[in-house]
Amino acid sequence: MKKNIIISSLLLIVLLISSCSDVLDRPELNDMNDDTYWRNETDLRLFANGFYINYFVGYNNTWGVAYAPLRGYYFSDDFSNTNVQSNFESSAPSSRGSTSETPDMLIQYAGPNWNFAWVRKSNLFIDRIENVAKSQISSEAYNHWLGVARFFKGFEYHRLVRVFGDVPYYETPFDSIFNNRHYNNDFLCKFVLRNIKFKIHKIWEKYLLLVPEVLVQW
Amino acid sequence: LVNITDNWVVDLDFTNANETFINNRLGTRYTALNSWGGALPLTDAEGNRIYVNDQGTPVPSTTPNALPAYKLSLTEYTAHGANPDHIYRNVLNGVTNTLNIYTTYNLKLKEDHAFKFMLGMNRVTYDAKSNWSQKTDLADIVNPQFGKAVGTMTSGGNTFWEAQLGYFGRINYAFRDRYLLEGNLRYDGSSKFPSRLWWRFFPSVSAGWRVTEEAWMEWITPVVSSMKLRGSWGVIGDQTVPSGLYAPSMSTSQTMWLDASGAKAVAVGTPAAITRDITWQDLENTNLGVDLYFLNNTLGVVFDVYRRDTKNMIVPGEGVSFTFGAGAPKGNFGSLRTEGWDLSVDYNYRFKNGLGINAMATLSDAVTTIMKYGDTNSIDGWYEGKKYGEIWGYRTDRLYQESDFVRDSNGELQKIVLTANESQKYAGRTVNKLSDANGKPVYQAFLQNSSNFFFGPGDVKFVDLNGDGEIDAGSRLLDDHGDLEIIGNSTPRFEYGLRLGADWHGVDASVFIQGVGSRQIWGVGFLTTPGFHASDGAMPQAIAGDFWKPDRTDAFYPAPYNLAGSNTGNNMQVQSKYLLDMSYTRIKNVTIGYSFPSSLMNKVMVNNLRVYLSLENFFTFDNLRGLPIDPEVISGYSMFNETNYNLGRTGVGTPTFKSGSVGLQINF
Repeated sequence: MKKNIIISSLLLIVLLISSCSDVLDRPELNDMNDDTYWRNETDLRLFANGFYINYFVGYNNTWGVAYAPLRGYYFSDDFSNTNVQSNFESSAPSSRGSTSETPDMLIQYAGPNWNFAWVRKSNLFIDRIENVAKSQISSEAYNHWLGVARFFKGFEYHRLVRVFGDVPYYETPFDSIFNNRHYNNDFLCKFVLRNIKFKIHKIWEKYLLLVPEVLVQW
Repeated sequence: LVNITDNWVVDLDFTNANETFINNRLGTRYTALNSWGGALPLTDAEGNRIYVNDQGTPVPSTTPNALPAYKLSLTEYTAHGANPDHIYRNVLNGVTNTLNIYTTYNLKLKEDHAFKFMLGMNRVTYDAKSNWSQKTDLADIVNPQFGKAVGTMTSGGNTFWEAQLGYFGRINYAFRDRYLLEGNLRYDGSSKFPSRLWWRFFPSVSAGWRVTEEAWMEWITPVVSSMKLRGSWGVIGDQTVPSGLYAPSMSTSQTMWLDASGAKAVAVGTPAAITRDITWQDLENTNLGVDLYFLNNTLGVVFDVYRRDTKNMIVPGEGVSFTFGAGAPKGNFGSLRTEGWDLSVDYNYRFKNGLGINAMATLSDAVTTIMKYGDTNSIDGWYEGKKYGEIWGYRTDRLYQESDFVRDSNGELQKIVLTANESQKYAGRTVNKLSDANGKPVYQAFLQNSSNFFFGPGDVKFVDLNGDGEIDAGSRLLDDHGDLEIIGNSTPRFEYGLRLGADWHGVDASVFIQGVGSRQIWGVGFLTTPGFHASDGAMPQAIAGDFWKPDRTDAFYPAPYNLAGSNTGNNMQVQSKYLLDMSYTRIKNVTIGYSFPSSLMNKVMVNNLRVYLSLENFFTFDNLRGLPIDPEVISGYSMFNETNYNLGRTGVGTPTFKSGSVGLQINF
């Protein structure tokens, strides 16, 4: 009987040790996490790199041709085509929606789909710079990266307005999902201009010429 | 295993499993003929063009009907470029540690009441690391090795870890083996969820009543030898989802842009749109059953009715518009219910003359319904009350014939532009004028999906189900679906099986028949879609020999039109007539065997000698009108790719094999 008591108390100890629920504390490890990102300027730069494939295009990333002059972007007054030019659509499409961040364009409209992924991306960038990164970087760097973010937002709205005319404008990344705020075209154009001007004023002088200088197509 | 007292037992087991997974992918460059295009002119040794007649025999170019000959070009596959030749290796090493401890205590009171108490825990951890690397440009294509490749190197890796911890208690009670009760309570935790949502309780209970054990049921035992009623209800948790669904993770990728130093720039992506509160999915199971055995256990009937609810299912939220800028975040928003029943009957009997027969029949059916999935009422979405697998389509009336149309003075079909008088919704579209001999015609302008397609003789006429004088799909909403209706369901219903066997003095025979009572799919691909693509190069004779033409007006399939790789549109709108009826009966197996008498065999030191003939899948009865596809096929499913094999085309995966075998079984 004494042996049994020893064994059972041993088992009890094992039970208690193994019952520690710390073992469950195993968060996903592989990717960066929004909650702990935005620590310094490098983080901001790496995030900004994601915009280049969509805005300063040659072959986008890998072998995409959206917006690449003559390859994807050829339906315009600047080029002519020896073949019959493709037709405009004769009936309304069932959907133009997309949420993909792979650069893509409607060739006949030389602009994006009804895709707000890039608006979300730049809004999120602005939000994180303002609310998370601001305290960790110099005011010079803050102005620079805010300028970059607002430039990209302006760029995307410029594209959307060109294709669709009237588009809902979102100031912040999340709170306005169910709150479509329509602004007229005039407002949006002024907004676009304001954002791009802001960028020109605020970006560090050495980058003043153009953002593509930072990265070149590989 | 420790016996503390006679009726108190403690079990402990610990398992450590180590798995290694290695995936080697060798993409060797090779040159082969290109049969897809780019044919080259065929010339003789002097460079003169060769001409052939319609038999393929070379003839002088001046021969009537001579054709210039071509040959296939040579193409280098996985050449330099977007996807060059390479060597790739992915290695994963995983360790699973499983610890189960439980203790059981049996208690018997006054012979009548038997209790069993159980208390335990289990703990599972999984840790894995993987890494892959790839190097392009093989210098030696015969023996591809990392050391023999000279191109770009890429690599990556992942770390996975997860854990589950659970405690459980169970009480069993049996009263004279007559009334059986069981209660369970689990308390489970999983690392897949945010810490405040790790833990959940999951209860379950079950009860059984062996009616034939009752004293007042004894009179029935000559007929009903055993009868048991069963019932159970329980909830268990499901955590088989990826880790980190609740984490706004940002993936890192290399872009094709160079930074100031000339290295490829790295970009960190947009955080995923997520719901922070991801927790257990609940599987709630309710089951009622009866086991009946008649005539000294020769005939058995087992019947079960069940309902399985999957609650808090992790699905994307609904009502998220495109202007959100990301796919709808996933959360515990969904719920679905499966209701079904199983019936099985088996019979065994041996006659006095040595003939034994046995039979087993099964029949089952289940329907899954979406109970909750956001607030959509689109017939293409997961609206509440949707039966899983249902197919919406038009109801086919017949094929249009010459008499339906009006020809102009040149003998051409007369084209008109619809006015509001002819079609309220689709005025302005061009159609072939329909004869109004049988009242006001209903135009199908909405279904003319191609700019050069106009419904004419030999094309499909649909039924105007809602009688509004238009054939269309409305807004594809539950309260406005135009002329669409539910025309079928791709879930197999009424699955049945029958096994018959007999043996007599060493001769044995058995047949196994299996089938599905009802299943429909809308096919995709050249094997099932008439006119799928002009460049397919082949089509089943069932279609090629039975499409509409002016001298075959009673054809099954409509006049041909090239759908250019689509399985819907124009004539081939999803519709009742061309929906594939996938019900079937298949004789899965027929076996005949003979075992030599053991008295004879013992003399040659053999215990058992049997010869047999077996036929697998030799006979299939289907309702596919001769289309060369297997009735068990699932579009896009094969052993190589379970969702999009061969772009999801129907019937192009590996079919069920037919096999016949003759065999000899010897036991020494």
